[in-house]
Amino acid sequence: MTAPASITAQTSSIFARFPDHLHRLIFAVVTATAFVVLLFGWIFGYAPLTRIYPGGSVMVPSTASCFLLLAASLTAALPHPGHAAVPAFRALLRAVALCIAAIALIDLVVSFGGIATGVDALLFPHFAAPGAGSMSPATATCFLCAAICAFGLSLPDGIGDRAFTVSATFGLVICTIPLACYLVQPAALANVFFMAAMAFHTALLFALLFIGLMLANPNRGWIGLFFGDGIGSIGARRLVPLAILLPVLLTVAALAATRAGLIGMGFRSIFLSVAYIFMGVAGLLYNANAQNRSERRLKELFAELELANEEKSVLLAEVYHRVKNNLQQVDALLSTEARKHDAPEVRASFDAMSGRIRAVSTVHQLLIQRQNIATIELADFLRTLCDNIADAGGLASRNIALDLETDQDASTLSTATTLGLLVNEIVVNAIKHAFDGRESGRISVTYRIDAENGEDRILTVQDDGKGLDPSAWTGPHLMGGAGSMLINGLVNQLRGNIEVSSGNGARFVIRLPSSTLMENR
Amino acid sequence: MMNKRIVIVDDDFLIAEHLRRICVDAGATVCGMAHNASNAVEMIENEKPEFVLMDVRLGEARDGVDVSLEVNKTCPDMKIIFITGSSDPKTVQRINEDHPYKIMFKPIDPSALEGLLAA
Repeated sequence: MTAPASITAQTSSIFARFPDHLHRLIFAVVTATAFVVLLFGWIFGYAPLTRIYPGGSVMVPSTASCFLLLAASLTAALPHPGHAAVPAFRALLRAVALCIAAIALIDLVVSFGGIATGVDALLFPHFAAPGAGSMSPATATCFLCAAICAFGLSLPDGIGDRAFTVSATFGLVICTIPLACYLVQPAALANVFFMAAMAFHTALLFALLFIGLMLANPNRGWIGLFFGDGIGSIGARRLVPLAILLPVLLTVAALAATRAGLIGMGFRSIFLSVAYIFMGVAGLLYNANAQNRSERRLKELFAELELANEEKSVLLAEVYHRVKNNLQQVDALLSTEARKHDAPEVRASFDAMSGRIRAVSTVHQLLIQRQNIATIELADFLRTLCDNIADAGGLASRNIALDLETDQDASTLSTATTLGLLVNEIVVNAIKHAFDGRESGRISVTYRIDAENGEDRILTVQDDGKGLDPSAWTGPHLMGGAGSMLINGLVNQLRGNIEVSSGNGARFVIRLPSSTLMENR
Repeated sequence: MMNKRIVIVDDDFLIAEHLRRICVDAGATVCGMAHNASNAVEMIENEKPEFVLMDVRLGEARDGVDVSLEVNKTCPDMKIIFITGSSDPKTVQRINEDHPYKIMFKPIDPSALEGLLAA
């Protein structure tokens, strides 16, 4: 398992670096070739450079100039890896792209409109003569596509991606046809008006240019697929050489067979069509197999993960179960200890401890019932907590109402535990002291998201009892008992602040920042 | 105040003892305490108490629900209060295979248990 993985990683890192250098090299080759054709071929008149394929078409000056301009400005405008693009060069690239698109459009208009053989004939009378050469419509179309791609490269990623892909692909297809004709049977081009005048090196430079344009930003277009480390990319790297080589060889063989008089042209077409169909289908099936295998593996992995996840969940539930059992044991031990004492205040102390232990365990009780165990819904939590406190305090028989209103919110377990202890402490204190000598009472607990800033959380516990002395509950000199100490400590732990006031009963307002909610202690 | 007869089934001594004291304080009679499944079945069938406080996990293959299902055959009206440490849906579902009188989660609130026994 390990060895193939490391080989894949190595391959992918090679392929990841490779395109950075390759497209620069390609643009340099295109620039240099166009420069040589223009300078030595046209200015110094060395004809073999303009008509590199004996008997083929010439690369006219306009074509060479367009190549030179475009490839040179691409080299200048595209930043080196790790360097920022220079805005002036980007603007230059856009201007050049627009200029080349204009030249290509003019050429298409004049050649299709029958005004002249091409754009060169408009400038140099020499090219008006038959057979002198012209920018073929195919060449103009390729330049149009290349200009769109170059313009696209000057825009931020994600803008014009589709236009880039379509243009690069279309351009590559157009120039590959004459290129293949030159390689296999140049005579085949002769009567094709659209591309007969495209020179061999023009077609070659276009093929290089479009590949370079796509390599310049592998995130656009489809060329990036060859450099990925996914199973699809690995398959593509394996199959593409075959997908190019086999049809070429087959076509060459079929053409040779026709020339030798073994098969007719009609049979050749049908034979090649059938052969290509089978090659295409074979490629598709190869990919389908790879995809099926990868999906099978994915399903296996998914099942393994699910199993592991299930085991973890069971383990976690077990831990929570143990925690709750241990809390019950602690409560039982406390209760055993409490029986040694007859003094009511001592028994009250032990009862308060039991209540706190149950407040802590409420978090765990809710936790095990939930799917998401990282956080806890505070509305559910506070509701269960208040119900438990009401039951334990016998509030129904004492005619005391415990109301709760909460906004929807969630917190981590540790923060919920602290909040729960805090609410327990204040509410239990109110139950004990606020309604001495009264027939009935009301305690209301609210938990709100601060409407003003949306950040703070405000917990309010209010009763309509006899009230209390606020100074005993807050401030540096704690006059209250262990309860007030606990309350202040818990508020600090929540990184909040507390205001205690007394009017028609006591009112505790605790404000805490929302960041506390996601803290894990 | 109420002379109710109760059997307590819990494999944890501390918790069983705690439950016993709560029952006694509430004025009930604890007529037996069992710490495993087979003892529990025998004790409940012999004593035929009004209430059973039943732990779910008893540290062996058979759990409190198995005990409950078995004694239900002979004493279908017995009030069985399940007391469990785990509130996960599976355990609750398992308990509901029987017809529990009530499910309580540890740590329990003594006054809530007293209220149930008094009802």
